[in-house]
Amino acid sequence: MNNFFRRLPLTTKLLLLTLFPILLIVYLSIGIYQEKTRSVQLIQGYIERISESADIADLISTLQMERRYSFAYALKKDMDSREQMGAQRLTTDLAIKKLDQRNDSTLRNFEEYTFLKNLKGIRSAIDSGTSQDVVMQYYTTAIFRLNTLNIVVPVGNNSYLNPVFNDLVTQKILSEMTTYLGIIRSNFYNVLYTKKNMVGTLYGLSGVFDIYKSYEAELLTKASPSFLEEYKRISQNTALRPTMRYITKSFQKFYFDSLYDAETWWKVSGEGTDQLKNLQQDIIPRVEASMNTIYNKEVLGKQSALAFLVIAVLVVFGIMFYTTQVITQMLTGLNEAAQKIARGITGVPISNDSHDVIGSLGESISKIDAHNKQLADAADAIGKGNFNVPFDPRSEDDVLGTAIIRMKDNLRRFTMEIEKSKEQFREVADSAPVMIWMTDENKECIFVNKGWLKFTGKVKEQELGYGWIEGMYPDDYARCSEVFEDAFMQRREYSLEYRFRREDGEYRWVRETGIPRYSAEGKFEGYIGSCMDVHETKMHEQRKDDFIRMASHELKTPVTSIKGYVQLLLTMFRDHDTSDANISSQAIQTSLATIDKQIIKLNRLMSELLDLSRIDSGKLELKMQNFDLVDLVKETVDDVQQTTQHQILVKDKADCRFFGDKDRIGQVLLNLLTNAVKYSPKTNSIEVNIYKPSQNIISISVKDHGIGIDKKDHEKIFERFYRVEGKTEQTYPGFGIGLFIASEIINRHNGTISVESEKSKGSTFTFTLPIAVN
Amino acid sequence: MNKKQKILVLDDDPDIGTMIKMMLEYKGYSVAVSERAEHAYDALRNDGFDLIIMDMLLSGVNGTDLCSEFKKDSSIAHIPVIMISAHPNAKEICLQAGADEFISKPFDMQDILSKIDRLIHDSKITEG
Repeated sequence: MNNFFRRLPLTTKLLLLTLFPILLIVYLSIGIYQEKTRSVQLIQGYIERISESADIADLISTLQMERRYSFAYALKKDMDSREQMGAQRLTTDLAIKKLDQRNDSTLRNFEEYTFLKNLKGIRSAIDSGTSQDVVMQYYTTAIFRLNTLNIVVPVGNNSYLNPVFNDLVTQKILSEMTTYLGIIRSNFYNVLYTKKNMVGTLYGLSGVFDIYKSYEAELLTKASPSFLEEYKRISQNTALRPTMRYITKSFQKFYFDSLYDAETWWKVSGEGTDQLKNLQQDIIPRVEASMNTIYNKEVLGKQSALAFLVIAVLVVFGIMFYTTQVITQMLTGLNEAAQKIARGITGVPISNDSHDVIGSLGESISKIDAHNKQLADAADAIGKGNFNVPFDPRSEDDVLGTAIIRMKDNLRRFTMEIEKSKEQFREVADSAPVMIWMTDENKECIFVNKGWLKFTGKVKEQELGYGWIEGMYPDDYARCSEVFEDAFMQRREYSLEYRFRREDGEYRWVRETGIPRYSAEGKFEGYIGSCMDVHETKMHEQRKDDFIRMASHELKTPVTSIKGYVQLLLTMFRDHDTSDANISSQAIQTSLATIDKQIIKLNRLMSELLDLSRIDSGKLELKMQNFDLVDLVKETVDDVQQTTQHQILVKDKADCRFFGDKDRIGQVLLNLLTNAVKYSPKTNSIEVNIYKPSQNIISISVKDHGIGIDKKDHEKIFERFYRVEGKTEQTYPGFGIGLFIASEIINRHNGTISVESEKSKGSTFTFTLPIAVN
Repeated sequence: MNKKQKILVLDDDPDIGTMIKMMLEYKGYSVAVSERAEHAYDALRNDGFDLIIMDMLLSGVNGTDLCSEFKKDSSIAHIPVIMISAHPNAKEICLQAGADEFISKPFDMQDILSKIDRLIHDSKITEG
């Protein structure tokens, strides 16, 4: 049962609550209504009874009149009485008939009980001349019996009927009094008329008079005050007063004095009796009026009860319905708030204006909501890195609050660790010799290290975003942009080279490599990469490429010449064989001489290449021997002198023996001398100086007056693959590695080589060698 | 062939210039060799050359630039030009500069002779 009730919907439960009071009210109201209905029915019954009493009283009244006229006729046998009697009989019959028509069980067979069944017989006997005593006897008995039918029903507890009841009782008493007064009056008339049997009549009537007196006493006790007033009035001022006085005096003196003769008495006592009878008949309508008032009051009471019932039910039902609605609304509001909280929504408004269990529940939900919001705000703040957000758990048992605080502490620790590792990364990145950079996912630069800033000489703010591009060599931008965009789109690693402006304004070749970087969750976050200054390498490679191109060109020139002359000679000899054409000995000589010259040139070029290769692989071996350096200089100068128009002057201010590779030193000398010849096309004097700047050093210098060398190139001419070139300058055949080889050879002898020169004013190449002191 | 065809050779290497001159003279052409480009204009305008052979690299002057200038000069433009270079990849540059033929070093005698023969023959037909 308990479970069944729990499972019922809330509305049904609350309606059940209202059902019992409503049923109780309905039950009580029906009781009241039924009670009222019963009263109304009772009153209706009373009214019926009173109406019946009125009819009985009417009949009694007519019978009394008939008795009066019949008694007079039986006594006097006169025509007046007979006429009056005849008329009265018709009235009596109508009254009997009226009572007959009442369908009341108490009146069943009343004609038999009251002897009115014999009325016709009596009337016939009266008409035939029966005695006045028989008449009196019969009618009085009939009236008496009839009066007993006029029962006043006790009212019991129905106190509201009390006034009516008194009137009814009064009415009955008056009826009795009228009857008994009629008996006494008729007998007095009989005595006065007949002058006989005076004492006997008084004896016979003294009991009747006592009854009359006792009824009067009862009347005085029970009648209403207004009625008593009326009764006193008729007793004092009407014919009733002489009537009662004569009767009372007759019984006191016990004889009939001569105050009245028979007819006067009949007249006076008739008027007196009629006073009583009229009083009695007046009561009936009064009772009926009272009864109607009571009846209407009770009907109104009944209707009021019904109205009250309906209103009460409506009011109770209304109150219950309203209460149910309110409670349901409140609970629905709480339920919606709770559901929202269950869905994770915060800031749920709860109107909380009751102080009962629902109010308390609402307050609890509000607290949960407020705390949820606090938790959410705290978590949000922690998520944004605000670890100082004030937050305390609600209690020691607050699992969620404690978890948030633990999360906060852990996050703080992790964040600090991450910050530390970031700092370490920055330190490492800054201290790295290369330039390091990072971009975000939109290609914008977000980091450059100190190495970068040191290179460009700018501040970080100038470089971030796209600022750094300003430093890129404009011609390189389009090419690099294409490579970078392409790699970026495909998230590929890339590598490219471009010229980038250094702090001193020089554009340096850098090699940039970049790789995509991803977050721990695998989300693309941009690129990270480095730039390395590869300028020297790049220049070296470029020179090497240039050298190879130049070398192949240089090698092809003698080959072209040789091939051309050989093919010419072959053609000439073939033509001579087939058609006896003349062969010009001049042409043959020129051809062969040129071929010879070109082969020597080719041989020299190949020697240089071989030397270069040896130097590169560290296999340039020196054949050390003692030799006279001055002799070597002179031999070499002699050799060169034979091939040139230039005048070579040797100034030997020192002689010395030298321990070293004679051929290699000779090669150096040859190189310097041929250069001097080659780069001084418009002058023709060359000086060679041999001297000792100090005791253990010997210096040899070769001076020309040729095109000279710009100061900026002085260092570089000794580098591999370097050749002074310019757009307007005449180019000279050769590999341009002679000075490099010379420099290597001198270095291998622990000497030094250098140049003094000015543009267009000639050059002086000097090499110095250490010599052993004896 | 009543009259000797005249060919101008521009090459700053005298050995090569001499070699080509000897080859062509042997084959009956009249040949002038110039080591420097600036001397070439007067000769070309006045001496009625039938063909020019020039090296791509000349002292102080870029051979392709010079060729372009020849081809813009109405009095010279009709003369066929053969350019010679040790760079095998230079062919395209030379043809773009207006050269009619390109020969890479070292060249074959028979090759250069047939190209000269064809160019002179073609230019004669065009003129004729």
